[in-house]
Amino acid sequence: MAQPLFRRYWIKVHPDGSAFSQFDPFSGKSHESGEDKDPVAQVLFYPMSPGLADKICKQGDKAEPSNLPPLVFDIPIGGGAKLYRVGKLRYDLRQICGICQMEFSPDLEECPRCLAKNQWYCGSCDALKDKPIIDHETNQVRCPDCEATLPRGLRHIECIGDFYQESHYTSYVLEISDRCREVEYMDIDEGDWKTCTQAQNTQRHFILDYKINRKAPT
Amino acid sequence: MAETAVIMELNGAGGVKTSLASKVARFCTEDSVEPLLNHPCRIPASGFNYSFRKTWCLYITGDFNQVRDIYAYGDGEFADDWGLSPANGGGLFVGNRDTGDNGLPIDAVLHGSDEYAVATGIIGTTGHSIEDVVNGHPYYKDQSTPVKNFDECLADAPHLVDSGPYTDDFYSKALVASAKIPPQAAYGKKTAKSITWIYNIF
Repeated sequence: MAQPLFRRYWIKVHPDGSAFSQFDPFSGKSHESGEDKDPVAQVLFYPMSPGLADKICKQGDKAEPSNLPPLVFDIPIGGGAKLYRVGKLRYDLRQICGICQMEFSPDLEECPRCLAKNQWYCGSCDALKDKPIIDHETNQVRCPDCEATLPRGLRHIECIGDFYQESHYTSYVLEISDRCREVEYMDIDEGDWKTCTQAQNTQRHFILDYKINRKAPT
Repeated sequence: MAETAVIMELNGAGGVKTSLASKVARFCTEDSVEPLLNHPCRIPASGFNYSFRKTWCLYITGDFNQVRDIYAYGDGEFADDWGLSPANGGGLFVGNRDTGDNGLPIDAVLHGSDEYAVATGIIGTTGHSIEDVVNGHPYYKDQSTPVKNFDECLADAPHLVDSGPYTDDFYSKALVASAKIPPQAAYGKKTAKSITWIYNIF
């Protein structure tokens, strides 16, 4: 099961100065933005501190300290804010060497550390075969040296295994509208007029929670 | 606790769900969650062959107020990277609905109905395509556009699987996928590819 790794978190500040944080500062318990329905005056994104990361991990979530810059978004008076988190899950195929346990890209045919690779063995020649005959029609792999006399299938010696590496990223979307207004509309299903709140002049901010590895200047 | 997420594959007549974490899923010509190198896809002499259909869903657990808007997308290079000859009609195709969510309902309680159908075909030769008039997927085959080329499903135009919303642990509707193989497709081992799933949490 993949879990998001948090490196920054949000704090909603209400107009009366009270605040609601994604993670409880004392216990590290996580909250989602939808739990807080109060009006918002400001949304802050803070880097994860070592102490809070520790508390979050004790709750069963994953967090690590970061030095991502703090971000501050003011919500205009009379405006609105919609905040949610985006989860992204991907499985990437990786290879693992059965000899030295090194994990490496599936694009490589042999282990970059110990050079082990999957081999084909011919019992008749008692030798490994680098360039076997691969017959896609019959799904057979045969020995090129025995083919002219007595065709013989090869045994697969598997040194490299495949596995999926889970990648679970998280990011935040904050939509801020200048003002909201009540709009009347006809509900066709119920056949009467209703009102809804429509946000205007909405700005959409996408806040990453990724660690960016920058190469140090030389 | 924040959410945990995993991709599950459904197999067999009953749609048994198996986590794909630490497994290797392969398009092949049998209904198996981890077929290894058995029953690979076959290139036809004429017409098209298909892989057996794959049915995948997202399983999310944890404490959240609401999860919704579940999408899937790729890098737009499946057909080219797998040598499926897109110019001749090959590619990776996913089940598509004319309206609403494209995902396959797999749970009567969560989704209102269970439309799961086991992957069928001739083992070792070809699967039945999703849009096949007779043997296609019952939930998709009668749509006016029953399949969508997955190479058109990109990060900025992802494939809507399930709009939700869900307020407790859930299995999402499922993505149904099948590889379409023309005679011009390339033989041999294929490069590994990834499908990305995204969802919004409130």
